[in-house]
Amino acid sequence: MDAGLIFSYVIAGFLMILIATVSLNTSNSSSELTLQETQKRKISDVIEVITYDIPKIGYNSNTLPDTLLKSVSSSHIEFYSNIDNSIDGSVELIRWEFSSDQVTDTQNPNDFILYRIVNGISSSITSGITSFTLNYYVELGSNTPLTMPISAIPNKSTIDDIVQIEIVMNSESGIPLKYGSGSASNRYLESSWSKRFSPVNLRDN
Amino acid sequence: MIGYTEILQTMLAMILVSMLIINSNRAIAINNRVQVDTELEDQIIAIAQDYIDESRSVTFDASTANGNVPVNIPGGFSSIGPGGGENSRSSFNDFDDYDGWTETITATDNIDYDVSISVSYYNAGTVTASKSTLKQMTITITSDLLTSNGANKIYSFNFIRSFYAD
Repeated sequence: MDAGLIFSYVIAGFLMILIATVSLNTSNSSSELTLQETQKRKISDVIEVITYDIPKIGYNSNTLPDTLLKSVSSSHIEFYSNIDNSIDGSVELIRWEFSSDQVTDTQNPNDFILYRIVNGISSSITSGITSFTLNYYVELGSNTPLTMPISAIPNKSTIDDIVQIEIVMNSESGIPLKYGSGSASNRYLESSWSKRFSPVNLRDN
Repeated sequence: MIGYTEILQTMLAMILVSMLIINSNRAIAINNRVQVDTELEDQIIAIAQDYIDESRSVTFDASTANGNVPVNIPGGFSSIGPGGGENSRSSFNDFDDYDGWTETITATDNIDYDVSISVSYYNAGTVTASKSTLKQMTITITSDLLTSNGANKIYSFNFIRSFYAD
């Protein structure tokens, strides 16, 4: 066989491998972007509910509830608010809690269920949340969060001093991007969000 | 000449493939850039909201602190800017104390965001030097990682607060 022809076949083989690699990389990049967009959309729904609830701590149409924050920790917060804006002025007990219950309907082993419980009625949020940390501050703009745990009874005065609440939330996509065979080559797209709330009703604390 | 035909064809193919690779890499680079920018811009919005929330939790004016109300509105309001001894966010007790505040915030992703704030009286759709019942806060945030044409992109957020909506 002609040596030139063999050389051309070899080059053609390299080119085909190259094209396949480029195509795979482009496809992976597009998948990453799509997954990120999907994940952001899922998380934005959670953020919307959080940013509705937390600033309304202690909210009521006429008078403040006797207790604003019932109990807090780095993984949960429990507070009173007339969250449904009911005309009768009844306040609800709202609890946000990041649990150790794994989300079962995703392929990601790192995501856990975030619960929003209103007067005992629980809603499960399974949007790929991998961590959800609450920090509490007794001064506006402080860089030093309160040391945990600050449970209700012995440190009640500390709870009543809280003026700012910071939430740090990380999430990952429910399905992995595969960069090879086996679960070790799976990569989940990460996204993080943090926000420090200054509920108006805590400003006199 | 016959022996060179295949080589010439191969070279042409390589040029085409090179162009394909360059364009593909460019697309991947743009995708990565968009991913990172989106993430950082979300954080910038959250930081701006933090300041807006915080400034809403203090009173509208120094003269309305402790539940007082000036006899003349808006003439009785104070000048814009922090009062004596108000040199940290924890010591701010009214909305315009944030005027001139600058700070570098390190977010949870260990990225620095430079924040600067200005507050002005606001009336009839524009900032004004004369006192009014509205104040506008402008929060400007930049990050070294968010650039455009070699300069840091500037993200500005305006928030208007009304004395009567307190």
